[in-house]
Amino acid sequence: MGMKKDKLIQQKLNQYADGLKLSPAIIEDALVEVRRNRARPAARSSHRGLLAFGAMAAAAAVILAFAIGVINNIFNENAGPGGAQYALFDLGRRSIELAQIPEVNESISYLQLEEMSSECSLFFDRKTKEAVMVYAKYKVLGAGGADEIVLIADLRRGYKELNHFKSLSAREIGGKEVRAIQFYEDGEYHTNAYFSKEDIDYYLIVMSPWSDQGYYYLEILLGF
Amino acid sequence: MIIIFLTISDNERRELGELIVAIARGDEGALAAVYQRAGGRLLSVAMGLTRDIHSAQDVLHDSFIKVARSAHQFKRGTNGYAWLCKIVKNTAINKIKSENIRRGLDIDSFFNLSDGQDMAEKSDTAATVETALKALLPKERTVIWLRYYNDMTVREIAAELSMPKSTVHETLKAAEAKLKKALAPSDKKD
Repeated sequence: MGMKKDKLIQQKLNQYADGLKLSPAIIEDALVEVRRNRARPAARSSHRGLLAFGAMAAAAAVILAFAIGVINNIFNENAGPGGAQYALFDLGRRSIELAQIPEVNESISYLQLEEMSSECSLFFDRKTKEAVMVYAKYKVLGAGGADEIVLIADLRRGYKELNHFKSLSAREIGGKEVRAIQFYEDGEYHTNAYFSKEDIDYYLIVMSPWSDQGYYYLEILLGF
Repeated sequence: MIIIFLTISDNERRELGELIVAIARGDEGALAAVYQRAGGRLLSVAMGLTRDIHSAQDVLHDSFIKVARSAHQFKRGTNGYAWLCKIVKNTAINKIKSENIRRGLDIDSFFNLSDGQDMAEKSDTAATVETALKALLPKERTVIWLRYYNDMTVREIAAELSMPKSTVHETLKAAEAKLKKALAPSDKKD
């Protein structure tokens, strides 16, 4: 089998790394963040803890997947109140900015990646005008191509078009149970996932040339 | 991708976990303490992926912001060091992808081998390690780095460097022998 590492060398290299004089400037921004968190503990937002990349124009393909599901439910009259099930077409819709998501509900986790393109919609109960779901579609350019992401945060937990996501294989990410599947199709890795956090249901669809991106975005949403 | 977990004791893991919990409460000192205790190792994790000291420092900067923002999601009693490593790893992977970072093997910048810094200012261990590494051939330093900081197997190193496994094996053995000889006397001084 493989060579064993030498203990003395390992110990000295560890000590070396531990003893590195690192610039205090590296954590200045993080300290500001801690201070800010202390000042507004109720407003802390895990979903904003991200940095990422890419710059982009809007995505189009993923919405089709939803349109198919939506058509199936077009005649459904339930608008979701009182624990009823609903589809996107049962609800009113208006465009919002990604930055407005916390105004809808501060507990919603979403992806806030730098320099990416996104489209965001708020779906609401037509009668009461209350927010029911937030739908966000992202496109992020990476070195190997673009990631397309659809994220649905279902505040009333009655969205039925992707109900089958709830019976996908269970796996644990960061101590949270996630239902997910990954498959390779048309040269891309597809990841479909469902999880629930702070009484909100989340549905995630990721298409990426990278096999690990789906789980990467899941980790972000789960707070890693 | 390679995840690098340098050895760390159970106590250290627990203490780091408690510090992360304190960060979630808004304790700036706790964040500084995490940085002081684990910053070097986390830098080596970032460096192992970016292979560039400046990018690694950027990754560390961004990672600590993430730590500050998501500390409240850390599960008390779990492995704090692994949690930190995971954040650094994800940040580094994304930096590599998004910025098309050319992954070189600039090992010497991590070990300050080329900065001409006065050895007298450094700790005994740092000075000894740097002197010992300086005495290695560049190829030996690279192999030691990949083995000990990146936790790569001989096979992985061979693939990374496009070298036969037997050559990596021999290079590693030679480098380890030199290092052991150079590092052992410093133990007596400590």
